[in-house]
Amino acid sequence: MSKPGEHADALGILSASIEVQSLLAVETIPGVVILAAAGSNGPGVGYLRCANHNLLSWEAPGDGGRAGAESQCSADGDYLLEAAEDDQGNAQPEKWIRVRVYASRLVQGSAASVYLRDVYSNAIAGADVTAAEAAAGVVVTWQVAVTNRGSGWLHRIRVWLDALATGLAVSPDGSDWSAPTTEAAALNLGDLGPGSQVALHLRRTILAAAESDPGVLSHLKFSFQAF
Amino acid sequence: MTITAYQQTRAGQLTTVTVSSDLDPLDGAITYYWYFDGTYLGHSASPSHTFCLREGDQGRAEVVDTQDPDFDPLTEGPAGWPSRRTVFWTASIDATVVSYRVDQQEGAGPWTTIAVVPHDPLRWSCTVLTGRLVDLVEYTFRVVPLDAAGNEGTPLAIGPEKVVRTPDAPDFTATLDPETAKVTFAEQP
Repeated sequence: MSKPGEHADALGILSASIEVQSLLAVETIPGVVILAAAGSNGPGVGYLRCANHNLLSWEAPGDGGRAGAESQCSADGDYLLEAAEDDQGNAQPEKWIRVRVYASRLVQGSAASVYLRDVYSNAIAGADVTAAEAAAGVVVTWQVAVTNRGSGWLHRIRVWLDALATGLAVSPDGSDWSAPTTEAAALNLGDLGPGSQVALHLRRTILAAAESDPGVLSHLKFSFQAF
Repeated sequence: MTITAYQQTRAGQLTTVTVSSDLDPLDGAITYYWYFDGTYLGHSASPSHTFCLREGDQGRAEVVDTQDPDFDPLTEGPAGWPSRRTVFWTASIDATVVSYRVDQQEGAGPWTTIAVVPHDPLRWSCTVLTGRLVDLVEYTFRVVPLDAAGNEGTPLAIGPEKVVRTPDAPDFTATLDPETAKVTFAEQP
């Protein structure tokens, strides 16, 4: 059983001290409130199940019927549910949901489709800009706080961009910008002790007359090592 | 997969859309996925769906007919950002709650109530579909639990979120035929 803050969710992104949400979850099963869903789940339809003995499991969108390991949630509290291995047998700890369980209200045998949709205007994507608004071109910069929400150290925290994230750049200080698209070339944010945080600056450049595409968001990727 | 025909029938605030599909039922069960102004509403085995459309309101209904059991209605649905939002919350565990008031704030304007939902102790999930939202305006929603005396509990805030639509919101005209109670929608170029 995974506790919140002990696995991939130990790395949090905060904006004005509020956790940034990349996905909005709609629907759940009785007794379970979905507090957060990792952006790595991607938009789509996932499945949340409660088997006998209050065993909860999470199937991320596109995982083809493979649910993650069951977590026994017999007491009220927060839990981390992780997706199953992918079809190549690789673990996917980055696909998690954090839930709050009200154990007495769980219905054993219940299941629900959970609809995960993108959150626009969050601190990662920045402000939405339409083609009309960007007609003259625009450059926007802002910053978020990369935070260690866990109880142990996080080492070699790295951040890079998805190749689709055109126009986005990252910086540790707001002046030295880069746009790495591989983990090997990633921006290294160093190590973070429990509860500590480091600033990450983001810059978004939209060329004049560029057309906006609702299917392309700003894709940030993170990795870290923990023991 | 092609919708070959459709018709709309209106009764009060309820508009029922019925479609015909060219898919062969002998090839497998047909599932219809319904969208309203780009917002996914749900799926059905029936080719009919009923939408709530308030007086003076207008909307764009879309349906995807498929026999693919793995169809994902969010990632494979119609492209574009929706002009409505689904306000979702889980029920309060406070026994004194009897209803929820859903408020909407447009920009920095005043809060307006868009729905009052009775508390059902047997229901854990609650949703309200908003009306059509204005493009390029920021919206915030809140769900306020109420007790029998109307006292407010701690509200749940949702948003703010700026509504951005690409391409621009379609421009519809709606015509009601009082003889047949049918509404005809026409999208302006």
